[in-house]
Amino acid sequence: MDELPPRSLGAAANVVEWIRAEATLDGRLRRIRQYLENEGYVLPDPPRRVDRSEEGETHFVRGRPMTVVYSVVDQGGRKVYHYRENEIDHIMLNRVERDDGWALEHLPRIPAILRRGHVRYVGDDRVVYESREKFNHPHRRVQCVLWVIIRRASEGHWYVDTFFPRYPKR
Amino acid sequence: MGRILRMRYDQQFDTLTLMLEEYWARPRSERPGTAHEVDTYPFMLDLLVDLGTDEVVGFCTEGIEFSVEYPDIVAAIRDRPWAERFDVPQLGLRDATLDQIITAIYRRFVRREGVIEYPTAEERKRPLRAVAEGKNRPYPRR
Repeated sequence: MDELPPRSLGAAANVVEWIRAEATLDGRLRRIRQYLENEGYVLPDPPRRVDRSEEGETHFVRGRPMTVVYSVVDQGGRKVYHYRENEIDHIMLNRVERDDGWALEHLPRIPAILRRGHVRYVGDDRVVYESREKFNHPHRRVQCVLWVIIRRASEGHWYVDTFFPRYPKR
Repeated sequence: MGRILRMRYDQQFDTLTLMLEEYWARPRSERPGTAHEVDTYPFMLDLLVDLGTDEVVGFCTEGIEFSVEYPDIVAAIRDRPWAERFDVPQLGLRDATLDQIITAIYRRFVRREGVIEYPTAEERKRPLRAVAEGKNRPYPRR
C-alpha cells in the first residue's frame, strides 16, 4: 500500500484502512502523525507531571494486553491508567475516522481534565469528565470543551477509554 | 433514496462510526473537522457535527460498548426518532431509519447473523479428524 495518506492523493479513500495496514503500533502511529501533519495538525509531546513509575507494564482490559504509558489520580481518588494501545488504536484512530483529529493536539490535557475538570456523569464503571477550559479549533473560530471518559475494566482498574471534542452549541 | 452513510464497526474496541459519504468526499478546504453533540441521545449515540456548517455529518458511540448498550441505543432513537433516512450500501440498506441501521449493524457484526464462518487457512491445512485417526479407510473387500 502507498506510503502517502489516501487523502493526499485526492481520493476519499479509507484513511483508517491505510493506517491499519501497518502491522505494528509504531507503524500505525507514524501513519497517524503523517496523516495529521498532512491535514495541518501536530501530535504534541506527551504530558508532564504524571506518574510514569509503571510505564511499560502490561495490564489486561477485557482480556487484551495493554501497555501502561502513565497513571493519574483523578479528583475522585481513582488511579487512572493511560494505555498505549488504547491511545493509538482507539482514541487516535477514532479521531481520524470521525474527522475530529484536530482535538489530538490537546491530548496531553487528559491528566489535567481528570484532576480539575467538571464531572458530567458518574456510574459504577464509567465517569465522564469535561474540561473547564474551552479550546480553539486550529483553523476555525470555534471553541469546544473536551470530554474524557474513564472506565473500569473487568479486571478492576480504571483507564482512559476515550477523549473527544464536544460541540459548543445546538 | 437517502444520503449515503458509510459505516465501520470496530470489533476490538466495540465502537461504531457512521459518516456521510458526501462529507468525506469533500476537499480538505471544505472539510473543517467535526465535534460531538452529546445531548440528543446522551451517553448512547453522539452526533458528529461539521464545524463549518453546523450540519450533522455522522453518528458514533464513545465510551460505551456497542454490543452491550445496543438495546438502550435503539430505545433512545425510538424515543426521539431521527427524521432523515439513509442508504447504507455496506449493509444493503436503502431508505432506512437510524434505528433500522443500528439494528442491522448489531445483527450483522455482533450477532453475526447471515455470516458464514469459514475455517481459517491454518484450520484448513489440518486433516479432518477422521482422516487423522485413520477412520476413513476404505471399506474392507469381501
